[in-house]
Amino acid sequence: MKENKKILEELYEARKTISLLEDELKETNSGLLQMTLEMDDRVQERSLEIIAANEALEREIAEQKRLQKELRQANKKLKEVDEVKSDFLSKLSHELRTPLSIISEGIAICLDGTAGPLLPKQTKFLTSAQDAIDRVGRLVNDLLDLSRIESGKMILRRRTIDLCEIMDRVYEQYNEKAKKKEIALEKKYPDRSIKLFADEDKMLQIFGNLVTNSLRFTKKRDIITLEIKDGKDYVKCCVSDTGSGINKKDIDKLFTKFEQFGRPGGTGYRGTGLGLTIVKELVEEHGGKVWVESEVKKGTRFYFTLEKVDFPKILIVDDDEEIARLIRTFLDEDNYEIDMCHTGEKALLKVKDKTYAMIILDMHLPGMNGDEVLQELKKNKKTRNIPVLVTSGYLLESSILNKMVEDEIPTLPKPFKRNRLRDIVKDLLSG
Amino acid sequence: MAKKKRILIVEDEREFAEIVQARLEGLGYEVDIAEDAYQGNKAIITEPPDLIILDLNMPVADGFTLLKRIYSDPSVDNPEVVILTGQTVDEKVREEARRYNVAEIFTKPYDRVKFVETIKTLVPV
Repeated sequence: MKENKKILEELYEARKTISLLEDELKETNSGLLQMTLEMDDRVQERSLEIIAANEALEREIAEQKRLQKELRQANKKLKEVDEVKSDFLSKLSHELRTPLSIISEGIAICLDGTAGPLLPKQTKFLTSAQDAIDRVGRLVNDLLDLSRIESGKMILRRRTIDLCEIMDRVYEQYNEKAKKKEIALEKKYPDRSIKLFADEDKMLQIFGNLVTNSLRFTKKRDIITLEIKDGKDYVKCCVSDTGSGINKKDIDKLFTKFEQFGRPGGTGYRGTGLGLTIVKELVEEHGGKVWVESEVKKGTRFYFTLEKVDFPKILIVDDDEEIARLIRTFLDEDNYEIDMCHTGEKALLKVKDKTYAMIILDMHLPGMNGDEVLQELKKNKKTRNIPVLVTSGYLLESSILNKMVEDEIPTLPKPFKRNRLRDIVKDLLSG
Repeated sequence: MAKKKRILIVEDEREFAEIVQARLEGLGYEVDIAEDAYQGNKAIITEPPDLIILDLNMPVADGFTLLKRIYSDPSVDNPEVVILTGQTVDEKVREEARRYNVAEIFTKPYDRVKFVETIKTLVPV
């Protein structure tokens, strides 16, 4: 009996424990349920937020797209307007050129006495008229230059030039003018030549415009100095003067089109307002920069750099080694990097690994002949546009010659003179 | 006295041509004017000049058309040619000019000192 009671008591205790455990479990369960519900709510909330954010993003993207489209259209319109403007300027300038020449020539021919003797007063007025018309002429030319640059139609005719020689020419050209104003024109450059692969006319124009500018803002006993310094990747040039200088507030406006202001003590407004803009554009086309240092009453220094571009590589293909070497000697002075080979097959291999600026090709080669080499060159994208100069020992057959003319490939019969070859090579490289 | 050197100006702007004519006559040349390529062609066949001053942009036929004509005519000796034009000279024009051995290209308004020098060098008075 006692035994039974004990068991019952134990069972009772066990049930109590179970019941307690059950309660605990229930509580935990309900807590879990609560948490799950809360989690659910939060997930729901976040989802809504994400959906909302997504929608907003989509709207934004659509808006962006619309704006981009509008921008593209506006850009296109702007480009069109710009083209119309450039075209208009260029047409206008052309239409101005002929009448301008008639006025200018008419005055010139009276002034130089060809049309009969003049009284001093007539000379005086005609001289003023000539100065004015020359100014208009310069403006027309500057406008044309600028519209060509802006429309991307200006092509640099790069060739190997000696910058010191360019400076000498600028010096010669402006020395007389400077002397008349009693201004000293000086030049400073290293003893050796500075070779550069650049556009000769544009170099003259850059220096010329800067010197003209300096002449305008200098007076008696001032000094204008031309200077060049050779560097590793760039050549640095400077045109400085001891003239009136430029106000700080005006320096930023210097290279802006048509921006003209009298420098303190400056002698006039005779410029076109385009000269320095053109200088900037031309320097930049040559991979350089232009900047100014100036102090009022002390003077102005215009600096610009010109990027040193690699010398053009030329491939000479001629089965006669002596002739190939002779051609190389002919081109010695012009700073090219020259390779030679003696068969068409080798030439085609060479053009594969190196980028040549030009090929001088003999028509009569053993194995593959010159004409076949030309056909192969034409097939390849990389070589298609390399200018070729065709040489030949005897007169070409008319069928081949006609083809050359049709394809605009220049031909040069041997024997040729050094300078003739040099000129043609320069022309082809700059074209 | 030696015969004067002959120059032919082919230019549709008569007034301009006359001024250039006066200038060159002043230097001692005999100068004729043709107002278009056809007149120019006729003048060249009748009496070949020593030098032609040629405008490019002319009505009817342009300057290069005239040059092509002269070059394809074996009966005419190729004269010296100087281009004097109001047109913009781009690489295409230069290329074509090279083909016809044009000595120099001047654009209007031109550098008259250089112009006269060039003419004098090509055909000494």
